[in-house]
Amino acid sequence: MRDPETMHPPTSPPALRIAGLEHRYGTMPVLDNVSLDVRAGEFLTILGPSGSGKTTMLRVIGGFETPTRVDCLSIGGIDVRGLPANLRDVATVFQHYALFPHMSVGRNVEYGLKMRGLPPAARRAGAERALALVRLAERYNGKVQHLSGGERQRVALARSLATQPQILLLDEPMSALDEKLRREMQTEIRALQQKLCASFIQVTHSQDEALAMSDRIAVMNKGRIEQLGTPSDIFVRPATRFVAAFMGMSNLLRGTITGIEEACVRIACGAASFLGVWTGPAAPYMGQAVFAGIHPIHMKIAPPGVASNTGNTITGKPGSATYRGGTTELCLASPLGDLIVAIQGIWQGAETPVALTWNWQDCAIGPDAAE
Amino acid sequence: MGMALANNNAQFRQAALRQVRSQRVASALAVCTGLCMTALVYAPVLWLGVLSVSGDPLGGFPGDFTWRWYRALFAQVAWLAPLLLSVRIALLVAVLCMAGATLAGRVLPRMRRTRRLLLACFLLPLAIPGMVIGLNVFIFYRVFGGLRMGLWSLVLVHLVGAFPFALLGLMVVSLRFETSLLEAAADLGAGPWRRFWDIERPLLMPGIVTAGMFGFLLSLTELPRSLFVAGHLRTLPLYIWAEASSRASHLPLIYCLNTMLAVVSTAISVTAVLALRARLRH
Amino acid sequence: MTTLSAEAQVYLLAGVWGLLALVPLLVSPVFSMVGAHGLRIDWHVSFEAFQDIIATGRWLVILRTCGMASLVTAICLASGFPFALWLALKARNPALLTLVWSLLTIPFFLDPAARMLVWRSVLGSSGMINAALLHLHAIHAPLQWLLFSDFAVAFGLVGSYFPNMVMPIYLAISLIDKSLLQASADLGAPPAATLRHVIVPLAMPGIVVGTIFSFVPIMGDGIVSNILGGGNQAYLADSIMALSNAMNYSGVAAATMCLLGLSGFLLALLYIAMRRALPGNGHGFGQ
Repeated sequence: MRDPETMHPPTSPPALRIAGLEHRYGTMPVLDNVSLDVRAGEFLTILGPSGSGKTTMLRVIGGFETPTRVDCLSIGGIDVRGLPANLRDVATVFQHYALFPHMSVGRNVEYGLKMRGLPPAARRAGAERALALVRLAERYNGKVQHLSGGERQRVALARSLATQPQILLLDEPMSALDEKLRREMQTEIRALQQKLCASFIQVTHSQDEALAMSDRIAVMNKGRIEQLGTPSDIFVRPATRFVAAFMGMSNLLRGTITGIEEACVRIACGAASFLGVWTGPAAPYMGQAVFAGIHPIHMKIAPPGVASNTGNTITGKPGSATYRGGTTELCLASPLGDLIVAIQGIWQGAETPVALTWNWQDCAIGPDAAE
Repeated sequence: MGMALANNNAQFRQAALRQVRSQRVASALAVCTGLCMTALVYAPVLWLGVLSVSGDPLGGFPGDFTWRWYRALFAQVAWLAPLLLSVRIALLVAVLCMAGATLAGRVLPRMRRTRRLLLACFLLPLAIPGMVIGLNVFIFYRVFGGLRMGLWSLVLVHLVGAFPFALLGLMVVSLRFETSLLEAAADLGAGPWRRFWDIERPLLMPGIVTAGMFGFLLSLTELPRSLFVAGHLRTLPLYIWAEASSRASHLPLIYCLNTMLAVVSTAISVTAVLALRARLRH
Repeated sequence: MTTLSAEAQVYLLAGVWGLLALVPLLVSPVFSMVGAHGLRIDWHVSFEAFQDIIATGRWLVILRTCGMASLVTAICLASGFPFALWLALKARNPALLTLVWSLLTIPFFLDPAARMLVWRSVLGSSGMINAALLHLHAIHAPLQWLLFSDFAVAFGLVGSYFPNMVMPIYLAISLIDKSLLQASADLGAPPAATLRHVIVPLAMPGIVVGTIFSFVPIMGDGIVSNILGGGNQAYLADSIMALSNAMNYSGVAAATMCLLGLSGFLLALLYIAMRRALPGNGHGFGQ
């Protein structure tokens, strides 16, 4: 196991630095003044819905698209603006793998080394090493057409890793795999990245994958990065309404700030008053329009007769229930709108109104931008 | 209630049977006419072979089997020069078709906006009768331009006739080409030439071979376009055309010549098709 | 060459192609309006060539050729469409399919003259068909109309241009998403209705292309009419060849313009008629 500290000393340049990236298709803006730094040895996921510009960003980094405007684009400290794809020290794992059908597995993996001018013996050694990393060494002479979906992905990984690039880009790597394989590959790819102390940048629309694999996540929406932070940051303290909704905070309320304290803020939602944690990027001010978000798993049905200590309580009338295996998502109608609570097991089906409570630390409050 | 349902079921079953039967009849009819027509296209070729070994080729029924005509054919060499000329031209046209079709055909699927216009430009000669092309080329270059007709004009008209087919043959393959493969190669460090040689060339090879084959065969058998631009030269089809319309006594020799031509063309086509199928199944 | 982008190379090729192959086609319109006899060109605009066509009655020949071409194209379409349909939808045996497909696309192994020569001997008064019929006592004297007649020319033309009609239609039908046909059946349409409302509209581009690739070359075919028609200038192509032999190049250009113009006009009519007969034939539908 390599030591991250010696592999990437603190003074080494960031694996990737982007500043002021703008891109349009014709007159349609796709990327809007994006800036991002990726540290060496980091696993970063760019997360967002389709149309958010995340794939375009990956293609710009890889050199397949020239951006309309960019102030800084450097890989490992080297300015790559204007450099075509074949001259950048980046390797991409394509969404459908793009394995060369007329070459064997071994030749596919060797290809990048061949382009770097290595002699046959060294190429073979490098390719075998890469295939061993993904546990497919015995398939060296096999045909690409005979591989299963998961095996193809691993060969694509090996092919990109064989050249030991500064950054490995992954374009929705799990999209073509089935559920079980997806979970296995999440762990495997993350383990690989940590073992190599390499810099991986992944693009995906699945918040599951982002949370499971990343050191940091950049959530993108309409060509902008809305939040950049660790998985738990993003999940528990979303900075904008969009991020909250995207990460599954189904309970989103609207309100205005009525009180600001050191560790928390108080808001008014209709007739009710709640306490929560401020997650917004800038400092809050009185009367600001905000959203308040609570995850279904953090909302609980209060046992009868127990009052909430902070007043974070609301009454709801139970409606439809969706069974999800470990939990059931129960939808309740409340004065402030529909709320969803995740409860253990199966819902018995009572229809009498109940009281719902949550801790103030689990309530994220941020600016409600007009979208 | 039960009675009504039984009636209904019987009705449905009758309708279904009728439908299946009429479909079968229609299919059979379609196949018959089609195969008859195809036979119409190819029967002359086969019949030529029969006549070339018949003792009485000009009469009604074919006579006894004989090699007489072939011996007479090989006894004289008037047809050798036209044959060699035709082969030379055909090879040249084949190479030019392969190069041009590859150049255009590999990129056209990716050019979204101008693709239709360019395709129309390249395929336009398909909609113009061969004779018109030959005449126009002759009038343009000889009457208007003052250039004498020769090998170059023959190659030109043959190319005009064959290139559209060559391009189509290649595009059948290039339209299914995955462009992400080229991106992957670039990503791994391959420059433009390498990308063409390592990735495009092997995968487009069936189309390239088809283009070359179309070019070769279409040039070898080209008649209407050559009629006006041959100058003093005689290609094999022109030779056959002249001989056939002049002396009836030469007709049997013409049959033999054509049969040999047909055999060679078939051999080339069959080999190419088999080789392509082997590759595609790879 | 490698310094140019791939797209630029294609444009360059198109330019060279345009110069060599397409520019000469301008001869037809240009030369039909000037005087060109022998190797001299008289650059005054005159419509003498067109007037000649009317004066010498050549326009009758043109009409006749139109009629013949329409008839042959119709025969090819009527027999070719069902065949293409069967090939694209019903043919199961891959070997048979490859064989037929190859036969229809690969150049026919021989030049057109060679193929027609055989028919000349088969259809002649001492040819095989007459000999067989006489032998069977079905007739008492050889049938003269088998050869050197309109029948022979039509026969030869059908035999030459059938593949031109079938190929584009076959390609168009095979490109139709099969799930569309299944949906049509699923919604209760009998096969004839699916054919009329789904297959024909979607295959229309192929039908139009097949018609063009048959009709126009047939109009300009001089080989078949020469060998099987007796060469007595019954058709436009023979007429043009005669003009060419007489070195009357403006006449040639004028006749060619008539040929192309008429073809274009008839095809446009056909196209409009087809579009009107099939309302909502889905432009942009499944394309």
